Amino acid sequence: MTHRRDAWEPQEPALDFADRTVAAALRERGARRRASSRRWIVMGAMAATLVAGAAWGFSSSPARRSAPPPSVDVAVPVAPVHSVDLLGTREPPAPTAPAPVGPSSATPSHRRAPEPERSVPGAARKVMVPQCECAPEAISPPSPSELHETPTPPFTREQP
Amino acid sequence: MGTAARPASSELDAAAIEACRAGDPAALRAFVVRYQRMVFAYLSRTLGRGPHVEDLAQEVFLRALRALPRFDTRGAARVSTWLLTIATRLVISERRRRRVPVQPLDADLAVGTPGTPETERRRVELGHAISRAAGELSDDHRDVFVLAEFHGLDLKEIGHVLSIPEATAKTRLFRARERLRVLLRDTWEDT
Repeated sequence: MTHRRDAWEPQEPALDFADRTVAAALRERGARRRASSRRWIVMGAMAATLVAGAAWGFSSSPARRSAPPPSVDVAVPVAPVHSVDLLGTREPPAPTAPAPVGPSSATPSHRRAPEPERSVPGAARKVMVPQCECAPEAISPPSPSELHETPTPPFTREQP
Repeated sequence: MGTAARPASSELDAAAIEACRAGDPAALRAFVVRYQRMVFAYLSRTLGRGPHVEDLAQEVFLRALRALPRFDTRGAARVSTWLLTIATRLVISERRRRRVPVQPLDADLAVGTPGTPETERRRVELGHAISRAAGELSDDHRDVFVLAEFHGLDLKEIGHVLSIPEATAKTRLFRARERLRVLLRDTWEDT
């Protein structure tokens, strides 16, 4: 049967088919290489853009913006507070030096005035008076009657 | 239609395949020259003769050379079987694209030469008859028949090439032979 089967002759390739096919294959291979190198360049550029974008986004993210700023503390001068013994049982304290002005990284506990000591247990009241420019000798403790007066509001004019 | 004859010529060796992978033009040409007749035969017998066969054959080789770096020369598949697998997939997609046969299978089957003796005339007639009969087969049966009878593939290889189970390939080949036996009964008796 083999000879019968071979009677069905197939189409023969053209003489230059192999040369044309090889040329097409080499052309395609060269184009693929060029496309591959272009693709690497594009991918490198995209990666660089991505890294740069990520770095920029990280540096300007809201989380970082809302974070506390670095320790640039502006020291607020706090006037020292003296305890005044209303009953006059104690000597007025010596004036203290004003708080230094300037940047400092002192903790809030340092800025706070020291707790006044109780000289006499059961003393009536202690009024915290901020230090003023006047001399410490000029400070006189108020009389007990003054303490019970209703304080007049500031900036009220007298009626004519 | 008994046992199929395996192609006599041997496959390309691993060194030649390696040279093709490296892009050596001489090796590429040897590769194409070695397998071009097989690819043309398969395409023209399944789709019919015509200029489309050359286009498809070139596409088969371009795909093969593109995929050659991934071909395992130590594997079970032969290069010819691998090429026929690529060609089969192209044929299937071509049929889906065109829906109808490109040309009658027996068209342009003028193989005779002037002064042909009687035996050659009978041979040409037989070729026409087989081609016509094969054209009567369904595409599935014709593919199996061509691969088995003209390219010497066994049932396992046919199943691999066509992506069908071996049993299906066996059934299709049996039915194709039966159908051709009926169609060619008169022709066999004459020859």
